[in-house]
Amino acid sequence: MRNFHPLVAGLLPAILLMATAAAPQTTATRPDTSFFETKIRPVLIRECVSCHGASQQKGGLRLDIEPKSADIKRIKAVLTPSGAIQMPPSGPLNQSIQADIIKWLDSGAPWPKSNVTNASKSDSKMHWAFLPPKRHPVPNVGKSPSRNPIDAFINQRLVTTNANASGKADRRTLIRRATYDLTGLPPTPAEVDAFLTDKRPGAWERVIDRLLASPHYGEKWGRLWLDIVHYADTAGENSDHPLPHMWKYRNWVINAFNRNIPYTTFIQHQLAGDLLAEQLKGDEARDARIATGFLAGARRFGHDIDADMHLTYEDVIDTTSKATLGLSLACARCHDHKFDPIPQRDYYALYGIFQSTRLSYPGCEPFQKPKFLVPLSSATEQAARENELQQLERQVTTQLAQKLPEQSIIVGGGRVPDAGSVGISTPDAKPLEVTLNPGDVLLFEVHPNGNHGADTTRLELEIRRTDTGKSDTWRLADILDTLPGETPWVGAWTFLDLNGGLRALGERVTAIDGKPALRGWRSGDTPSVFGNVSTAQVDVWTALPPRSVFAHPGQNGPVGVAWTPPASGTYALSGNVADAHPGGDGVSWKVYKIPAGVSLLASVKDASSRTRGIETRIAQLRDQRNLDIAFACTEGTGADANVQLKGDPAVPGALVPRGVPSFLGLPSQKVGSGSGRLELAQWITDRQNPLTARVWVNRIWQGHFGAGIVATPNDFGLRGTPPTNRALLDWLAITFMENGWDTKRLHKLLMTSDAYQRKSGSGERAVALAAFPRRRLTAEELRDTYLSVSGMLDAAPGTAHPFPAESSWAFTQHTPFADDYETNKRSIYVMQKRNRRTPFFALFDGPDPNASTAVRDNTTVPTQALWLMNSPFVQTIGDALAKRTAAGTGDIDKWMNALYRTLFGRLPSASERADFYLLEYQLYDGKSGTTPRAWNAYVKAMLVSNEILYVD
Amino acid sequence: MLIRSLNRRGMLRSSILGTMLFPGLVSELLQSDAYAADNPLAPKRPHFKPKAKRVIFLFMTGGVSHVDTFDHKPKLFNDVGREVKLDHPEIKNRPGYERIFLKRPQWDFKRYGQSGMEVSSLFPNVAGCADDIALIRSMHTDHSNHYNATLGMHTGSFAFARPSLGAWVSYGLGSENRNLPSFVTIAPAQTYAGSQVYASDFLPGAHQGTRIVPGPIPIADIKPAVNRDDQRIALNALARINQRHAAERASDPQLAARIQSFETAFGMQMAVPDVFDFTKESDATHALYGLKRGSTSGFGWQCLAARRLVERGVRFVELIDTGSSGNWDSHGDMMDHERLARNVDKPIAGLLNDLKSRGMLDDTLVVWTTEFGRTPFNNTADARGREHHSWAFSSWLAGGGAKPGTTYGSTDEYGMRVETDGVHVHDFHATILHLMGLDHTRLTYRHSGRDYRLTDAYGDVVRKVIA
Repeated sequence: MRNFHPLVAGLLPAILLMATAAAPQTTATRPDTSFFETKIRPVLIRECVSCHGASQQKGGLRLDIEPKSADIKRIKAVLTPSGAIQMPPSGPLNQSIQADIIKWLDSGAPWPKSNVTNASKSDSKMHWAFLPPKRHPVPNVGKSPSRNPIDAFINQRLVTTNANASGKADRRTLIRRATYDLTGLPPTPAEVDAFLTDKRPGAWERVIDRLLASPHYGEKWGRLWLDIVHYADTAGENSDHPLPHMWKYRNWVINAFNRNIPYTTFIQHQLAGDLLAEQLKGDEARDARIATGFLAGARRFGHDIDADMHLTYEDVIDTTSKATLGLSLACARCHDHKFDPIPQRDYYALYGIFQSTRLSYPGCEPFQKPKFLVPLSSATEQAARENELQQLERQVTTQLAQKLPEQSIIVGGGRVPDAGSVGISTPDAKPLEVTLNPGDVLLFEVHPNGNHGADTTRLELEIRRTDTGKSDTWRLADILDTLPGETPWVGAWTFLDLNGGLRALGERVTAIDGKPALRGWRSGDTPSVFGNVSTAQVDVWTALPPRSVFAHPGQNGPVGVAWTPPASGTYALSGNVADAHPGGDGVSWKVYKIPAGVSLLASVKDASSRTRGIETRIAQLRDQRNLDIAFACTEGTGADANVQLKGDPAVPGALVPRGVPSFLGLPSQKVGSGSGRLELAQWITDRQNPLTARVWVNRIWQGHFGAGIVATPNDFGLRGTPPTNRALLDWLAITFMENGWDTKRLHKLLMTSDAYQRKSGSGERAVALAAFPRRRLTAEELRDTYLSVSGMLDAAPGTAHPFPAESSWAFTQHTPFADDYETNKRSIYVMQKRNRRTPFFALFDGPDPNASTAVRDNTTVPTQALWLMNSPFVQTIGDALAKRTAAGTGDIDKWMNALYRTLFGRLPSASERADFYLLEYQLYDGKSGTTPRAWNAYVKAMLVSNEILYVD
Repeated sequence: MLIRSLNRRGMLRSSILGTMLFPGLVSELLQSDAYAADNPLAPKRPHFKPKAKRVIFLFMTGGVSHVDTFDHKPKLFNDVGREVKLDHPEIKNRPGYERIFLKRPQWDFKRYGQSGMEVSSLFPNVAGCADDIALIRSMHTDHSNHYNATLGMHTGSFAFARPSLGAWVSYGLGSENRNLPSFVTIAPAQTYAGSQVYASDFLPGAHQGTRIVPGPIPIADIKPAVNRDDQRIALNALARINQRHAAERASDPQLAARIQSFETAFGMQMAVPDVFDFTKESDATHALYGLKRGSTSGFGWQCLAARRLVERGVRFVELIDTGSSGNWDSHGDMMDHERLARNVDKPIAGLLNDLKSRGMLDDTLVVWTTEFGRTPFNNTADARGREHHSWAFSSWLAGGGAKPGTTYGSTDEYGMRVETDGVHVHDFHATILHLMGLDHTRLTYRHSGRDYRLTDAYGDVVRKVIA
């Protein structure tokens, strides 16, 4: 619906009637409906009814209902500017609109009968969607060659409307369509060839089976579910706290599709997996607990999220009811639903269920620390792991750390204020000069000030030999090209954790916060010594300037950089220390001269080598600990909820027993002492529930045919759009249930219909499915296609995001969490924030991370073209593809073949080859090198062409 | 190889040029009703005759103290240190705030212009425009948290993301310049609630605010990846490829719209830098805005950019003066208001005077507001800062049909609560839409089975601030 002109879309009742008009019995009796609804009613609503409508009738004229025949002449007279009175008062309508209205008036101003907007409560009892699906007989359409019943239902309509269905699309089109529809990726040239040459019967079915078995299937269809439940990796409260464990739910959804668990199980586990887990074992139990991330991932609100939990419960109720029932129960928060027969008590019966459930707590500005995270392994396993971890950590920190020798001398030091920068010198501003012998150590230490803990500190250190006349210098920045290196010592420099002694930083990092430019060594999250090795600024928790080295102390302890001289002599230390992360307490620095003889660094290095195994094990155990936790839910204290008068939690009304909604009149199990989630899950997935199967088959239908049989997939209520083909919808729902709620089987059923295999088209023919609806790639498909064709795609499933460690969290509404992480993985794995949407996904109509998205927008705006033309991402992809296709040979014909096969699975035509030569000719500037330049430009043009952007 | 290619090109050239007749086809498609109906930014007629054609919305982030700027409270000067008892959201259950005392404003007020409007010495230049301003001293809002109040001031919704005011105006009226977005937000830094304050949310994406960041790349990807001539040649190749693709298929408006979008984007690449190229602005104009030639920092740059944007038909321009930190949120020391006022006072006055001298102020509505006021009290009599205050604050309108030289509404003797003619955020929005020729009760969008409006179920147009 959303790609209609906004004015028209704003007039939904009119469109509802258009949809009705598509039904043959309607069109037969009222041929003018479509003309009226598209050309006349919108104009009347826009221009006339504010003065000539229900609330006022200036001049006794009403234009929101059928005009009296006596008025027809009057209306005609005021339309043109010639008369004494002219309407509308803001100026005459444009000529073509005038002509339409006159045409309508001349035909007697026919007015279609409304049957949607005036629905009353008594109608709603009989509302189609609240009655069980009816087993309609499969129509007999006579000559239809298809044995798929779907075609019988569709062709019956086409026959009545005299629409000729388009022929079957060619195989190349079909495999591209099927591959995008089932995996969100383009087919590879080999896959295209295999299908083209498979002459045995059942080739199409084999393509479908192969695609349904692909791990990429879940990455495409899981996204549909994540849209509906508005999945995000942050909580959405004022400081938008990260949800570091949420990805497990995301991957659970993807795997649930891949494993093709029955839809009933899919829903039951998300609502009550923790309760069902008690009867399950091992990974199954673990997965069921993770599935309840569906509820825990609800949006949080405000400053102290506990103060606004009524809004979070509303989000849970809204998402659950929209996703599974295709109805918004949230409208009943403040009053009985205005249109659907949903009483306010049903809302608070559900409210009681969710209020009796304990959701994991994400943290918020006043309480940063997450809690109620759900452990996934047994208590014994957890205890064993924690025990081992503790012992190993103790071994590393106490037994193996070297004490700072007592003979150490402090030769300099100072304080750096918040965001400040100070030069390294003696207090009287002289260079720091020290005499050093081999084996001596010059140790530069950085430690935090005050109570705000650690700060990122930029170190610019330079050591110069001063007693030889030669200017031998050593700069810390010299290590940038070596980082992270194989050991925490690079050249003459060693990176040290100084908490409780000296030990080398143990963990090597190649991409801090997911940024490959940030490399170095650390221990846990901090302390660390790392560099921005690139020539560009990197924006992470703070802006890190290019080609710089940083020391980051731990919360409680200092970090150090040690240097050893190559020979005896006098050395001067100079440079700068800067607090690179404004908003803390600043840092302090100290320089020690540690005398030789204790061979200190040798012991540190030796200990480091010996503990490497232990540190690896510690890192492993810490990973396990993270993997062992889910952001999910468990039972809370069972308690019924009071109605909140006008939706205000401060004004309680009657107590409502918690339980399943009453409005469908289905038998319900009594809720005992528990939350009632299990009872709710069973009620939703009961075969008697008239909505659940219909809503799901409609979503799968929409995923293949562009629009649902019900065009408002989250609204099957009285204000939703009625089904365009109710018999078909009911037949699909019943078949789906009889087939064991088997989603993959449903895909295959739809895709083996003739309707799915037609040539593509647009407009009314596509709406009637006389042609297959052409569609634009989604944001995810577009990005994934680019990564795929350029060879840059990392096809492995994504896991956790490189969020900053929990211990460092201090997010506020002033400085909310706002990182972005680059990845070459598929788009479903890109980290999604709630309060700062990723610009690319916003630009290409991606899902709204704050509200259920049932249908994606489909906009065409010039800012999309700017991205396609100029964004660094598309440029990089284009360069890679140009290189990939032109590799190995100078023969342009071969380049063209490679490019066309990669992008479209076909060879270029003669005129397409000519396109390139014309481009080359036009770009020729008398210098050599035109061909590669032209090739690069041509590849980039092909990348953004409509043949890529749209699926036929 | 080059020679061989040239030979082949020679043969092919004439036949290729023949195919270049295609633009005719594309333009036919574009002129069709289907395309016009598909362009969400096509100019649309307002509900009734508008007073203003465009809006410049000046948002002061962090909460400007009303009693120190536009709401003169002589008694607050006199009764400093007096203890008051209030059921105020910012002191409830807050340790150290068991007792609260009135705090004296730190700036003196004077009367300005023929209207005699009282303004403090923080805004001497804006005060010089008093006779163009309709000042509202009785603003109030629903929330005393930055995030929620900021979201509310922009979207009418205090908790959930909803379309921004600018997106609603764009949706209601479309754009008059196809090379520029209809709704632009100039924000050197993100304010509270991030991109939600300029999002289109459920409205079509074309109404999304385009964020401009002062500096060399004001809009993402606006800088051509290759030189302009080469880009034109490549775009011609793309158009040829797309035309052939379209010719093989039955007419499809979305394919035609996509072809057109590249042409528009190509135009934007010229139009956008032109907007932000101030070299042809005179020294006098620079001086008017307090802007150093060549500098892109400070509010003066934003104000002059706003004038240039509305001149070119952009419907709604929002200027955000600071980000979510370092703003008017002066808990620690009210003297920080001086720095912040200095950043905006002259540029705002410059903007009003510039629009006026160009005859544009009559149909350009300038709105000045913040998310809430600041408390007339604090927990000690000599506290240097003020806390968040949702009960009352001041905003003003100028030009675009706002009644010049008016002061509307009032607060009590200390500026604590609204006393007369309260203007809620919803009323404020209804009034802005009204001046744009839009009836806030009729500007609706169907989403999730419900008709949504900017003002939810509330809002009354404040007739008395309309000329």
